[in-house]
Amino acid sequence: MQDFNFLLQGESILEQGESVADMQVPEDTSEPDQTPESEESLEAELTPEAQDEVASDEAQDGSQQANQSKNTFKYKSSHPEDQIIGNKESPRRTRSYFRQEESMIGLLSVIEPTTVDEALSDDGWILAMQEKLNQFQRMMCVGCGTQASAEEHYWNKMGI
Amino acid sequence: MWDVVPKPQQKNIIGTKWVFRNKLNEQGEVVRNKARLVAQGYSQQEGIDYTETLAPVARLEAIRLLLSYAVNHGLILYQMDVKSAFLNGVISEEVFVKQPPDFEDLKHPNNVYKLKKLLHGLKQAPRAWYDRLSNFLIKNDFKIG
Repeated sequence: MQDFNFLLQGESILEQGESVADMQVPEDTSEPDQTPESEESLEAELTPEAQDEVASDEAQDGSQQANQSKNTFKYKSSHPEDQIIGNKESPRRTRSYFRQEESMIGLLSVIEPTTVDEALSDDGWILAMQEKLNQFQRMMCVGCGTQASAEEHYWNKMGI
Repeated sequence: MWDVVPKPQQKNIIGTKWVFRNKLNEQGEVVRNKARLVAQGYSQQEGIDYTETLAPVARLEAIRLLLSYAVNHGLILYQMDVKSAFLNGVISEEVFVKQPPDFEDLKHPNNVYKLKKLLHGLKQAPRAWYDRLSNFLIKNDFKIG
């Protein structure tokens, strides 16, 4: 239980929110309540008791690493982190959120043009037309000539 | 979608046109600009460019009937939507359309498109989509009641 207490202290330092006294209760029932750290505490339990110091250090490191990887694992791709536009810590936002956002209005045209010439003078409409042409392009796949393959492709595209 | 072919002689070439629509949200604000390429179906000739145009659609009264029937019998109803349904309908006639206005191929501005799929505005578009959908449903053991 020694290493377990140590781990709990370390976590409370990391959290800086809850009091140490609360966290030090080494009851089994308190474990599942700490949902974000429950995985690490399980790891700590699995380590042999003989390696008290090492295990606790590892556990603390592990929890720190886990906290870091929680934030960064999505971005470990070929795309460098400094090229991400906007705040990557911001929570997930849905389309209804963007409806409220006023900055979107700058990209949109309020008028509905009646001729192509009018539309071509507006970035938003050029984008809209390009989007449509891209859609046509995507539909012109290889081997779509026959009805059967077209149908197959269609359902594949829809993820069915 | 289409094959690009040189302009054929003695064939009716149907013009195309861009139609621009704004999509609004519940508050009536513009949230999206949508462009649609339509064929000018009024210049289609019956018997050459199209034959059958009849297509059944669901009337609101029919939907209401279905709903009340389902409520009475405790049935579970499912619904689905097909995205850009017309553009996925297969065309059976030989139809040529002009290139989209202001998006013509600069090297070959006189080429035309021989359609393989439907475009909005074609006379046979609703019918051809209905054919495709009903064929699929019948093939999957649905019955016409």
